[in-house]
Amino acid sequence: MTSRPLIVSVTLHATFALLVLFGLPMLGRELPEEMPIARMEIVQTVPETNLIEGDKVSTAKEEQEATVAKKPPPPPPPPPPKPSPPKTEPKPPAPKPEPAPAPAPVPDDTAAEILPDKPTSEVADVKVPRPTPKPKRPPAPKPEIVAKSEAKPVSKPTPPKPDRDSKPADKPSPPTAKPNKSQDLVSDQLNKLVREKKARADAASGVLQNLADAQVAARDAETARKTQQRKESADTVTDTLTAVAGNAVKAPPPKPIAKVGLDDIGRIQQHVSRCWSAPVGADQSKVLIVDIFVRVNKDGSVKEARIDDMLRYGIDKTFRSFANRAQQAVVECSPLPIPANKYDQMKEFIFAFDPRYLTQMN
Amino acid sequence: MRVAVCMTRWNHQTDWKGAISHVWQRGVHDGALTLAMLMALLGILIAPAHAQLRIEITEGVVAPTPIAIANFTGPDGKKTDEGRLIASIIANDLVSSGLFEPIDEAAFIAPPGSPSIKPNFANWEPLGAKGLLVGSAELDENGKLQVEFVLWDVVTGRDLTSGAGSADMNAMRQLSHKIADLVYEEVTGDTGYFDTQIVYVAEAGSQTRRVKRLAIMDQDGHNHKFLTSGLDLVLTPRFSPTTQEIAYLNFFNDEPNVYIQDIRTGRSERLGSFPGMTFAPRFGPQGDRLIMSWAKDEDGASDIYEMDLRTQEIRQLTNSRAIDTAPSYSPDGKRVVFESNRAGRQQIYTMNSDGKNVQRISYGEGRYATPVWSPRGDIVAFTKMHRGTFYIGVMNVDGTGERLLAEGFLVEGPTWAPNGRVLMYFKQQPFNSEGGGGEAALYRIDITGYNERQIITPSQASDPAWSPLRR
Repeated sequence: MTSRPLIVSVTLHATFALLVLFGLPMLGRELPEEMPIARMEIVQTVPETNLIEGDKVSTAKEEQEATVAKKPPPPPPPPPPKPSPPKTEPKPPAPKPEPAPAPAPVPDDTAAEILPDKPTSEVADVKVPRPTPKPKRPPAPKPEIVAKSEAKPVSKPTPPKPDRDSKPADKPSPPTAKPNKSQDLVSDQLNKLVREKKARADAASGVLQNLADAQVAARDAETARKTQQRKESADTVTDTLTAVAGNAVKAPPPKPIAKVGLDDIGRIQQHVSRCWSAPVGADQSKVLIVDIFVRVNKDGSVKEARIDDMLRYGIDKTFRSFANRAQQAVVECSPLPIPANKYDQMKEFIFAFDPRYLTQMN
Repeated sequence: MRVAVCMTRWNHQTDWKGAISHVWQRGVHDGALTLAMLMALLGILIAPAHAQLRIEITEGVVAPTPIAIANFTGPDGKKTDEGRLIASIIANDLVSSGLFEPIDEAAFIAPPGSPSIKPNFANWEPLGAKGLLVGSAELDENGKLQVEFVLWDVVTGRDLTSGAGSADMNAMRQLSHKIADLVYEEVTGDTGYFDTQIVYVAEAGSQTRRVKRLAIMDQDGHNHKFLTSGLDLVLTPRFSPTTQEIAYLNFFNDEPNVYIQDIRTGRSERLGSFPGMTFAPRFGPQGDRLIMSWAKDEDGASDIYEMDLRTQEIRQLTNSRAIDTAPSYSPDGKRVVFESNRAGRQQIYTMNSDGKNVQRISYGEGRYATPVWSPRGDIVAFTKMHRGTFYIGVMNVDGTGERLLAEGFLVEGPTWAPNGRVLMYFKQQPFNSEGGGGEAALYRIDITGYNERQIITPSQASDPAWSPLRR
């Protein structure tokens, strides 16, 4: 009597436990699909957390400190100047005594002030030629030609590769499969023909046999083709599925997919930050975010680092210099610390170089 | 032309690189669309279409950009004195900005003999160079210097900018400054400021018999010239943004008034005829107006007036019993910042250029003076005095975000580089008990508060004013 309620409660608990065990994970499985989006948001707030975690502790003031800390490097510049500035610094002294002689030669005409006249007219010379020469002679085409060559080194190696990597990888396999089968079929038939020629005992039966064989062979070939087609279409469907909904749809088979975590992102951010020469002190009103589209190899080496907004790159001087710096940072920081087991999720992405936190000096 | 070049660049991009990714992306998108419709039909909910992973980079390194500047080559790629000088002028300009770190020439391995030869970047990358400037400078049959140059991006292996120019030999320095400006512009995205001049007050003699003369020089201290004889005391020179003219305060017969000098001819004229004293002149952003202080009466008060330089018409902007002075226009000419002691102490105020809408913007401790509106328009530089120390600082135009950049016994009179990135001012050392000391010199500093450098002048110097970019 007393055991019945106990049994009931045990069974109820057990079912509840089962629900928890099997029911919730099923719900939980949906999570990964949305995770990337959630991560996206978190990533955007990451700068602050990064700042706290990283070497530099906070925003503006700390950045200034950081620059102070890194300012010491500038003192080193003085040493490098040794070669150049010293050359020039000695010179200033030289003009010191010379200023008198220097103005003198030209002022011969009248006063020191007239001197500028000539320089200014020459200045005009200096200025006008520059725009004109460009179109005038090879240097003009040069920029264009070089512009071509510019793009090549970055992109050339990349675009072709992805193609080889992605499409050919899938397609070549079907073609190779097909030829094999048809070749087999042909050789089978040849063998059979040889055998029949050897036998030649019963011509009629042989012919019938051949016909039957041919029919079977044709059927085989057709089924092979159909299965192949099915396979292909299945592949493309799964491809588009994964493309659309991420690997989540495909989730059941490749379970070992590792999640891209904040730590992964943070590691990459820190890594690239070290290569990015940030435009501190730049004009606030001109500061902008540069997107660099990145493709990486499995070892994390950068396969492609493409400036996303090439139209603006062509028109906006400030954007161009910012974009060049950002691109340099990505290229210089190759290889990126991308975990091998997360390569599939991270083989291409966008780096958004955002200097706004750095240029705020107040 | 520039745009045309750029457009071709872009076309290349789409031609054979962008096209591939475009097709690929479109394929995915089309597939996504059909599939989404299919799923909707089946009543299956799917997560929103995949978003590209986007990693934000908000931290970076603050360090000068390492750049290799090869000596400009002469005919047949030979080394010449001119080529060496041009490279050193450019290197000196760039290093003075604090944003570049020229690499020691001794480390160079086989620099290209001509700007038209693509360098072997493998030789330059190990030096840490991010940029490489290669150029040639040759004399043509007319004795003119013909210069060509290319700036290479060592990291990505492409040319960032290139150009050519010619100049008489005595304008070689200016030509070099122009090249430095282009390099600066390409790398920082800001306009350069190396092809500029500084006008200042050159001081000599004892403190009691001080001779003050107007002098002008290139931004790097070269091509120094005196503009006035030193018979009259001169103060506060200011460049016109459009013409080769300087407005300044001249004590002729001990009567202080605003004068304008044409620096090409050396001729100077008194600006109008005002009873009392006019001082603290400054040109409007278009060069057609001049704003200044005028103390009409002997009561010591002054107000701010604006003069139309074409019609010589004058308009009163402020009317207080205090000293309103040191006016400076915003770059759009719509606002004016000035100092006034109307609230007891010197403070900074802004107003519309018609004198309306006066707002006090400085509320910190101490006194604030000599405000100058940044050419970028977003901040105001000033001199601050607090507890016996002088500071050069900047604040937002609404008075927030005050930052002090430099300090000293006496630091005063900030003036902006035309790109609003660098400030120049003068610094005076304290006097000692023997009557010595008190030397004044010009300094400049980056608006981040780093890279303070002295500008070497033949004599002591004060009251600098930075010219606009030469054309």
